[in-house]
Amino acid sequence: MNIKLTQYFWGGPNHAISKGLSLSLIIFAVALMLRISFMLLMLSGIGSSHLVDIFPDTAKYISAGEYLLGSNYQGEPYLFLVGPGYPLFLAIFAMGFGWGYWLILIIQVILSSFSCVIIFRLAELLTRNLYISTISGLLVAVSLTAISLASAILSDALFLFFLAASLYLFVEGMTGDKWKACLWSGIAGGMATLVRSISMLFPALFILFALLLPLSMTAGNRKSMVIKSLVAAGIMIIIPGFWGLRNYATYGTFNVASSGYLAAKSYLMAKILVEGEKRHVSDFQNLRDSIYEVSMENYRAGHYKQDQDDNLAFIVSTIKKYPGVFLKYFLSTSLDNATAVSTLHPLQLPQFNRASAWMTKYFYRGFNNYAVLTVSLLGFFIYIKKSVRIAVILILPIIYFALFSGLTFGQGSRIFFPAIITQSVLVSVGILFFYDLSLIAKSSIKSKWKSLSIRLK
Amino acid sequence: MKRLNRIGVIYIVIILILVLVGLLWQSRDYDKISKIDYRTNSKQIMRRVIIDPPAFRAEIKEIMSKDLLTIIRDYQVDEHTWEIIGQSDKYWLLADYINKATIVEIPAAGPSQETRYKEMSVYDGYIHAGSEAYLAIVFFCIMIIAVCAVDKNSLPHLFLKSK
Repeated sequence: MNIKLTQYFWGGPNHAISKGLSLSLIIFAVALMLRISFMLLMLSGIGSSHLVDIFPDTAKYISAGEYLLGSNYQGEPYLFLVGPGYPLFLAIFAMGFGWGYWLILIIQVILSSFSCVIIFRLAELLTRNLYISTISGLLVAVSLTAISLASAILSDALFLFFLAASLYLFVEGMTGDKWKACLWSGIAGGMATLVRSISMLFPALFILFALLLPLSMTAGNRKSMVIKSLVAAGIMIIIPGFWGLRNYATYGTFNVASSGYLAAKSYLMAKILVEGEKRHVSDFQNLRDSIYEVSMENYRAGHYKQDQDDNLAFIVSTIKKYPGVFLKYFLSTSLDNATAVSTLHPLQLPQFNRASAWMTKYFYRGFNNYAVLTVSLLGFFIYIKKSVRIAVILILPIIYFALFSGLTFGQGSRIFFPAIITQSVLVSVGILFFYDLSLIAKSSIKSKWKSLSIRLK
Repeated sequence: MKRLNRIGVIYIVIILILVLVGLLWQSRDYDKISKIDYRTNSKQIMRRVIIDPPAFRAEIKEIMSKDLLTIIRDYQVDEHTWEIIGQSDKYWLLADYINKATIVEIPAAGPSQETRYKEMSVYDGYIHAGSEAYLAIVFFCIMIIAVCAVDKNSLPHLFLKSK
């Protein structure tokens, strides 16, 4: 390799800034290239007119976006269901450019590529290790789930961007004693919650992170860190809180998005009832669909508050009646989602399904693969040797999204996808451990071979 | 040397325990699939009127084999019910699913039960094999010993500053 080029990228401490920037550019370029290639292959295969047909949720977001623009009053229930974030994103582009989904995809591809750089920078802040951070960024860049979701008219790419930015700015604010970064962190986190309400309890994690971050990594003291975290958490609650107040004023129920409630009610509770009441397994689908339709009919009739209250009562009573069955399905659904593989790309690239059959056969055992979860858990135990506090900070978002995913249903890798922010860091720790272990084994074999040759001589 | 011997002994003990756990898990999977009740946890996939029940059962077995299932058990439950259990690979460790086909002979209606024609229904039920979770646990246990045994100073890329 050209020595000057090597020095430019891997020079001494004076090159630290250019090194970080160079790696950021490389990660961004790799991510962008893969995502654009995927998008072009997808558009060439299914055509831009069928983009909205691939996933059922897309129609809900578009309906909700049309409602925001005042052109489709049937979109009101969907706005209540999914929250305003992503429909607003779609509506803004529709206002400026019409419903041209290709532009939305390009923006999502760019944001998704930026997310890889953000995760790289976040890993660098937390681990102070360029190897770990580079591998983390590259792992997200090549993640099939991330690539697929960037080219889908779904909220996940936008959500990941906001949440990753929020977490990065928070850690930047803590470590650099920067108030501005913490404020922007709260704003980004609030935007993330408006896009997907699953992050509504993330403020609690921010406060935990403020208590866990080692003081040696931070410029301020513990008190200032906790105060900053409370401010960031507060902003992250207030921003979606405005939407909750709007729903309270309009429908009588304080709610950011009710998709979580509905998923828990229609999927998880249906599963519990089928087993608890010893019904035939084929009854699950009918029960699930009828629970879902009842709620949608309530929304169309304007009975939002009544449905929300009924949702809560139904969920609580079912769990109380069958606590053991609930726990069984909660944990198995969490594990199912945490080990799920990407199932989106066969729908987006149907022309390659035959060619990718080998991948399905050898890597995707059913719809689950335990490898990534195992390596990330291993990474957690490895990193404990360096810093227990940072290891816990890295695993907490994984546990958070795994537990939340247990309340819904197996959705492929989509529901657990946001955990990639810190899971990629733990996986890269695991990968580096295997590499260092192979180096130890190699040098041990070499020295044993040397001593054996000397003895033989 | 003493340390290496200790680590070696720990590894052997852990591996023996894992093998035992694997055998128990496999047996638990087979037990679980055989307990599946076709009335609640299976889907009817076939219903035919036939003359020769043994030939029909052999045909079902052949269909299962053609679906790349390795037949592991084939037995009669009672006078009118047979069960065939197959898994998606020859070895449980590599299997994704364990399927059970329940063949039920519906007794002939009418004054006489001696009739050439039998109505047979086939139900298909399945469970996910626990082999992948088991292999993940085995890998994790083996590697965690390496994590505990290796000195962190001998992991240059992980624990030494790269800047």
